[in-house]
Amino acid sequence: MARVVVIGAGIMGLATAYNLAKRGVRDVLVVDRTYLCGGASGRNGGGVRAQFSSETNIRLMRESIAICRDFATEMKINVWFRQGGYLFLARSAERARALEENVALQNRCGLPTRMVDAAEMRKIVPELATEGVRAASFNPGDGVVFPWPFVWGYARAAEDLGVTIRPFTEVVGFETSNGRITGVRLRPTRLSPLDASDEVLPAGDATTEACDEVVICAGAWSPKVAALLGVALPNKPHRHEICATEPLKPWLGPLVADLTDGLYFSQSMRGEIVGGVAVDPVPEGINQQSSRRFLTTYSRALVGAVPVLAGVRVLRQWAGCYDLTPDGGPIVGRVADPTNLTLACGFMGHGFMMAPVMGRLLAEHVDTGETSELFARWSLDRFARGDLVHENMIIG
Amino acid sequence: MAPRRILPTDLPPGSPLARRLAALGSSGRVTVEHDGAPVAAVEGEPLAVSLLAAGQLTLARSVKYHRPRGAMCLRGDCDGCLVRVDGVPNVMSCQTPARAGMVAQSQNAFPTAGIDVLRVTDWFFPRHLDHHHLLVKFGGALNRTMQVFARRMAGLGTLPDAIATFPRSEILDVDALVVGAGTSGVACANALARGGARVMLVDEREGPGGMRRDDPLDDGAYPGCDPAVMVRYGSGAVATYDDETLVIHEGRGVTVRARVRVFATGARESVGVFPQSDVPGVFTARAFALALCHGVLAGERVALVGDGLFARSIAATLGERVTHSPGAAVVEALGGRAVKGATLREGGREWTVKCDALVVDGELGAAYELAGQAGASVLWSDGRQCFVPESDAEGATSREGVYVAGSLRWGRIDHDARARDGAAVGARALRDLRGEGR
Amino acid sequence: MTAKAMLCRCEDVTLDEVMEALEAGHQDIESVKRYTGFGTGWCQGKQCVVACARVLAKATGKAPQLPITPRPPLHPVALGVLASLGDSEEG
Repeated sequence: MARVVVIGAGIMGLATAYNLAKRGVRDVLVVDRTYLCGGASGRNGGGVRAQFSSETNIRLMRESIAICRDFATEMKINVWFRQGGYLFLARSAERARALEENVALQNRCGLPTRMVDAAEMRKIVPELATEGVRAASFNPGDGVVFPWPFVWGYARAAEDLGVTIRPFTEVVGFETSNGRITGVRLRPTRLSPLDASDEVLPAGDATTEACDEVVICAGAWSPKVAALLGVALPNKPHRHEICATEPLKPWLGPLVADLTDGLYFSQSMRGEIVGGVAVDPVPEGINQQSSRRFLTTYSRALVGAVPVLAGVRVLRQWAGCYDLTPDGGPIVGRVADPTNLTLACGFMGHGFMMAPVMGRLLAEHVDTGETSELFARWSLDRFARGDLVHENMIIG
Repeated sequence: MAPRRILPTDLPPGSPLARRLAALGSSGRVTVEHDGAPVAAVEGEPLAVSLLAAGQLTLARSVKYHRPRGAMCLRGDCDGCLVRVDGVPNVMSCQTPARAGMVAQSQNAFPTAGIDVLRVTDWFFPRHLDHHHLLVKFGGALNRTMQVFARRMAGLGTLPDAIATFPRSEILDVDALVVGAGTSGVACANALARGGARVMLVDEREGPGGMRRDDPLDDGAYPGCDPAVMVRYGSGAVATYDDETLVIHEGRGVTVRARVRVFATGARESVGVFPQSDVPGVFTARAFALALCHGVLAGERVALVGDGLFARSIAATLGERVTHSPGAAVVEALGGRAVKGATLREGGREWTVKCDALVVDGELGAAYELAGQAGASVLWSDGRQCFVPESDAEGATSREGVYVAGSLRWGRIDHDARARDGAAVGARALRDLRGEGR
Repeated sequence: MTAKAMLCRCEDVTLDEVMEALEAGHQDIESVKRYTGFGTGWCQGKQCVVACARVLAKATGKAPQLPITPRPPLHPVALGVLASLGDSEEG
């Protein structure tokens, strides 16, 4: 019997479980279909920024960044958070204007973001080809983390507080009664030799775990899980590819992002240039397969932005899934039916960076049952009401 | 004593290797530069072999502990020989033919790979450096200072000196692509070509033969390719996807779209895991044999362990110059900057040998990566103690149009068996092309 | 002298570290890869994946059924070469 079953042991699920346990909630169980870091939490580029276009996101990300700064000493594991800033490039007058408006809003929220001209861009990244770049915005407080230890840090801290984490366990169904979930059907899994497929293979019989509350933090898998309860989510998985180059001595300070083609790149603590680019179209559904087309699109964009990288080599490429919603805002909070189901998904590829603060808010919501103004705005029924959210700082 | 070029007196007269080296004799002598010093080289031989012949055992430093690194596999499968060449960082010198005037520099070392003071990291963390928990128990300021320092230490080479340009790529449509021009790959390509298929055969080496090229006892009479096979040597298949394979040929990208793909990528040698297995002077038997085939003796006092084809060929070629322990296992290698000896074990007996080259013919691992990328199911084999693509009797994998042949799927089998297997897999792939079912 | 047994030379991962990862609960090969970093360096696992699997087989009594996902490329490829690829529809 679990008080709360959290589905998905990615950063969102683990941060929620950790915060639940910290609030004194006992018997929290987190399940994941594969290993820790098997989903988007283990596949993302580690970007953490407060440069958004909505006040909500800016304020939430300020808190997340503060958590990142103290994470190593608080959670006793290094996440290699490096605040080299985010440099957003604008190649059109329209984009430049949008950046300016965002900077004004970010300044009102207390961020030191500023517009920078070509000369200053080259000061920040001397190797950058600034031709065709009309303007850029720079927030020195944004940065990058190494994603994996973030996940293990939450997992270990949650376990220390009594949370049970069960990897290689998939949800195959639910038991419900009177509009409430009474149990989750769980089945052990193993990986399929055909990695890119969405399949895991059964590795035992399903059993039922009785529970009071269920939280779905399953990222791109959330619609599949919710569908088992008859809850239809408008989210769509969207493959996003990424790659890393050979390790070089440090030369690149910020994460550079170009909203025009979705290019972004930064230098990891190991010295690799890690980045991605928007590729259209992508295969339908959940797909974690790498493509040659991505490599070409990315390399052209990256070499265009930093020509000296032409001779630098790609070491490996991989893919993960963004969890996209129709309006670009996440889907968070309780639903009407079943009444003890909470959703936390649709984070548009920003889930990792938002999880530190979302974990705290979600735990509060699940524990107290109270709905904040924020969660009301991000609720699933906004799509039915037509009350959509707006965010234009989405990369890729 | 150190590695050096072979003298006529090193080899018994009339040995296959002596004949091979005599044929090489006319190759041009050139000078390359390594960390500012001139190094005599034979044009076209792997740069790592030139450096080895000049006694440069230590070419690089490891990423974290700055432990000395030297050539170990000589086939592009390890980090041992990475140097900066002509302003390009992280060049595998074992895959780079020596050319006159080439400038090689050590990286990630201060002042050079030979004497790198940053080696203190290795001594400071005698067991290992637990980077996950390094300085997390102290205040945030100290932790942050450590992170700044750690970033400065990270990475291997520095950015290239110049903006590189590359020739335009090409796209090729063929019926079949065979990767690997070893015995089975050639037999497979020939079977396909003789059946009328448009076949492309690629191999990163400069000619056919695969492992036979590196065997000093081999007579060099490799079976040739049917003239109808489109052969590209010096072409590595570097990635394969759903419907295409990326081949790099002389610095140019070639996208090959093939209806069937056959991977005859063979197996990889390793020295195994034992204390100090990473010290310069520890070689796979194949690497040592490869250097021999270029006329370079990678050590004067050779301890040879293992009983594979390469170990036997080395022992037969060098006779009493090597101490061969066919049935022994390595307990540990001795020496800090370069190998000085090894502790070996066999049947409950342990002993120490002195050597300046420890040569291990260890267990093989199937080179399954490309077949795996192509979507073939790859599973652990208890018998071979490595991961192997699943295949049926005729080499068909779980993925339609993807086949495997030769020692990739069988491990150590002899030349004739590899040739038969290649031909059988080729015949099967041909039926696939003709729509005669799987 | 420090007698480290390197399981993964490229990333300086010792045998010792793999054992510690197991003790810390990272029991499957994908988790061990992520926790120790083995197989993520220059050779991308060509030298060490099999070695790690053999270690896991010995330590846990069961070999991993699957290797870590073989990620393209097999050997490092220059961004400039990759940028030159493509067909007419990609310009």
